[in-house]
Amino acid sequence: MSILFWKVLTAVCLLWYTSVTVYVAWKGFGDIRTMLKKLGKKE
Amino acid sequence: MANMSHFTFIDGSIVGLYLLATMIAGLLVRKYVRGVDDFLVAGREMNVYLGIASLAATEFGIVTCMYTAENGFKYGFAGATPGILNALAMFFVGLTGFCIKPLRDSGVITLPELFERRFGGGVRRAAGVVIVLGGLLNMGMFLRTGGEFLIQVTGFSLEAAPAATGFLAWAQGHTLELAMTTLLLLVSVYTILGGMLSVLVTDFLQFIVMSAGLIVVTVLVLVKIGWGRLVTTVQAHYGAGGFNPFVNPQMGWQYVLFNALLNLAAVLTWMAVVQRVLASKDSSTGRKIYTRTSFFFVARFLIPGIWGIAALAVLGAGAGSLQAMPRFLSTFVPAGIMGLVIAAMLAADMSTDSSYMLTWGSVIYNDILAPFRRKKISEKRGLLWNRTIIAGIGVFLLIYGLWYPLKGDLWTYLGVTGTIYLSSMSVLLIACCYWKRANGWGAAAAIFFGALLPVLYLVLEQVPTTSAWVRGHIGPYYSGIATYLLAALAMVIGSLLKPGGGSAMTQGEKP
Repeated sequence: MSILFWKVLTAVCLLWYTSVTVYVAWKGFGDIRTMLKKLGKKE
Repeated sequence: MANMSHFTFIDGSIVGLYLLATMIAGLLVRKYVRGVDDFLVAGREMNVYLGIASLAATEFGIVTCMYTAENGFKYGFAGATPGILNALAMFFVGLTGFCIKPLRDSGVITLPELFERRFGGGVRRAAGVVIVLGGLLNMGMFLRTGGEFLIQVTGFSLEAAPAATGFLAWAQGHTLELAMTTLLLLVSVYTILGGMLSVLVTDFLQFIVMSAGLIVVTVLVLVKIGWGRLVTTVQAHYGAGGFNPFVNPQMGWQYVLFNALLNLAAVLTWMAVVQRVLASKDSSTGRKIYTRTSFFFVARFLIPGIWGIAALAVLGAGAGSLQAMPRFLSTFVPAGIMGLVIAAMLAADMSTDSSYMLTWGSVIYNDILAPFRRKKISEKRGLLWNRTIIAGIGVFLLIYGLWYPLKGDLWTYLGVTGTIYLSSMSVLLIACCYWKRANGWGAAAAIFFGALLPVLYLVLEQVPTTSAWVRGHIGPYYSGIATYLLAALAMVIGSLLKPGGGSAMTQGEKP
């Protein structure tokens, strides 16, 4: 039972981490642009 | 010390390219830093996804990789238990807004600044000292551990070649110190110049590189070594205790309870984590960053834990628990991918170091030195102060990181030193937000007793005559649990002893 738990957790972990990395890479770039634009306007 | 590492010229080029890109990105954004607010909390303009990348990158350094792999090596899969507890704590806090909502809504830059509003200026300064003391003791291990990892994986020798003379011989004999100094210099340059803005932008790059490296190596381990062999190895060495912390003789309920308290307190008050909430554009964004990053903390323990188990399977139990994983990686990862792994680990370490230096620097500037400034200083002068403090922290880390002799396992050391402030600060924060009768007396008592036990434990552990007794009869887990309980008790008794007291901060209260 506990072996199955760790097996499922490892699989979920890898799948989740891969998809989150791709998604955050895409959306985070937009966040940086927005943040710098707003900070630039403050000047 | 030399090994057959797969680190080649191509790998070196990948690492060089990564370092160049990071430095350029970190330095380019420094022009947006115009005041202390921009420097310390990025003008409070951080959004969710940048926050997730930054929080994940900050909370995963080489030191994290080393101690989580060590946990896998020493306890099997059960070694990932702290990661699960951390994820649960972060998800709960993010979902409910427990403490972090009133904290962000208050508009403060640091935790001690919030405490001053309820408990007075003395508590603010005392909290600042405890936070910096616990934080720097904790961070003192980062450089040495990072340097050891890099040397092991790249296969650089720690001993001078017999033919070498003069500076070359000295340099070859001090590879660790040189690696640490170079790493710190690179991080210091962009952190000192760009503050939180540079940290966020470099964290973003570092998150991508770090994640790519972590995923690729884990897939390689699962394909080449296989899940079955990992499970068999854990069963052979630890039996059922390798999968269940409650039946592991080295862990038990006290390990689980200590880590549950430690991780909840860290989620609430670990300044490097909380600073992401304070830099977010509003409390709703801060809460989203918490809930959406929470599962990362399972990966943070489980992925390097699997590397540690793989090292146990390949090298055997005779390999040193802390050094086994980098030794394993140095021969397991093929050339070409090795460059990605080193870049990933450098990324992980640089993002952690830069954020931590900025975090402790902000507390020193905002809470410890602020009372000594009689007049309001200009933004330019404030920036100069912050930059000087960060440079000073760098020098301290270099010196402390070189001579501290670590005893016991790394995670436990980090847990004990972190407890110095996590215990009292978490109690102060909860009381500050939700208990109307909490006052300065209770806060001062919680800070004192919260720091007393961990410091006493560390000192007794270092004294030869008491070392074995302390580790054998008390251990870090019981003393850690006692510290959290004592800090809470001190807050209650101290507050009730003094008549009167303030009222709990209402959610949404502004400075």
